[in-house]
Amino acid sequence: MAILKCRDLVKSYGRKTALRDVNFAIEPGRIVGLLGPNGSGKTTLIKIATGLLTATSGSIKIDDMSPGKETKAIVSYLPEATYLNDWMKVSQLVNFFDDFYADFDREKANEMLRNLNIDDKESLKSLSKGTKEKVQLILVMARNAKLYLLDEPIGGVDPASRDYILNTIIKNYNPEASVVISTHLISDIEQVLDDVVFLKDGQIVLSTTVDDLRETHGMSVDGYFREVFKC
Amino acid sequence: MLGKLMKYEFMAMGRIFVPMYAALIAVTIISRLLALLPHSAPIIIGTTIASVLVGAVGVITFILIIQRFMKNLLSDEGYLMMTLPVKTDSLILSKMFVATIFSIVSFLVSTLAILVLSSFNFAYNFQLLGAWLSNLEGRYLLVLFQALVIVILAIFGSILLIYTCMSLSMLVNKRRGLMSFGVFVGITTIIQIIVAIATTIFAINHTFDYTRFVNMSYFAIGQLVILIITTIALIQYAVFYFITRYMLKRRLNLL
Repeated sequence: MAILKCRDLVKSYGRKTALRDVNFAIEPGRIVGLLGPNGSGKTTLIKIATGLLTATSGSIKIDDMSPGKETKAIVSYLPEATYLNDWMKVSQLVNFFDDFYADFDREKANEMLRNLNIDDKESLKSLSKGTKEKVQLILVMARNAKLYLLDEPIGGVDPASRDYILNTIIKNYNPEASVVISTHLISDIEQVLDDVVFLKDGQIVLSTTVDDLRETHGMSVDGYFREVFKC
Repeated sequence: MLGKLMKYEFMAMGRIFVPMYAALIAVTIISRLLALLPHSAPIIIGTTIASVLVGAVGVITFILIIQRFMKNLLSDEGYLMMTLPVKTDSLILSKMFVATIFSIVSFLVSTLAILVLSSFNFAYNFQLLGAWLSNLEGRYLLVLFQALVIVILAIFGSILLIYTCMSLSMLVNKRRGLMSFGVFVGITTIIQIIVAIATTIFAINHTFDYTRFVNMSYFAIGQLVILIITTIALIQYAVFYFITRYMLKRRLNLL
């Protein structure tokens, strides 16, 4: 059964339509790239799945439930914004996640923090922007969620950490869990993706497996993206 | 989950409030001690600083209630808070309860500081108060208790009104502070108009038989007034609460 399923999903902000008739499903155990240029509706789609936005019409189901308290317990969400309380120490944030998420693995989080040389005694305020993003990603990935929704997870971090983070995502690959990564840095994540969904002006223009795409079009995801979204 | 949310809310607000209370208490004590010295200049300085601090405690309490809701739920931190597996009710109530507790503590600490500064004789006055309370008839103790409940409800109400204004400001994407203030003016005006209309209708209603009050005791009339006030207040607060809840649940618009 699909972990995420959208049916005729529409979202409009006043007269502006951000998503129109979006239909697709994500099966368990897949790493999915949600790809599209700026303003194509990627963030809107993710926000509806997290319950931060309400769809104008149509439905979205996570593990067969509408977004709410129960789906929030199984969805691990990384927003674009720096969203942690900056007066807290890293260790307090670890406690915070441990307090609220039953699926949070404290050991895993501490191990990742050590591997990236992040001192958990430091308050978030004193960390650089890139380090803050790493802390956020570590907390999000240290959950044993069923669905990870990562909105631009690698935008602000250096290439070395980028590799570590992508490895972390793959290593934490629970066969039951699915990962949705929204980004326009396609070449960096291409090697980890199973499926791709292309969004353009709020509509899905392509939803396929990476293997199929390479076979049918004879080019990489990055190459095909550049062709589809040619300006 | 309400308890855990309140725990973090206490941490967030406490880290501002506790040092502030400590500063107020310290300055108050110092200025009292200075009063024991033969010269009067230090007393004036101490008292001035303490009075400014009392004012500051009030203002900061108000600002912090606004800031905690706006920053923690409606801005970037909202991405974390609004995706926690907790009910929207718990988010609102945790904020409201902790804000109420700190409002009460701010009031108590400020009152205490003012009393200490004005050389209030605590032992003597508490003795008087105790004597007065022990001679009070049981039913007036009930009135005192009701007054206390009404005060606490009024604090809930004011905080919920502030939350309502801020959550309605999510309807616009710019100048939310201004929008909140506009909503505040709008809501208070509407309430005034409703009250005015209701009283007028009541006053010109000739069929209402006022003589039935003539034989009622003052106590009974008092109880009736309390009942009416509380009912009207609770209806208002319920409306504030449900507007806030609806906005957070259905019309969330994080910037």
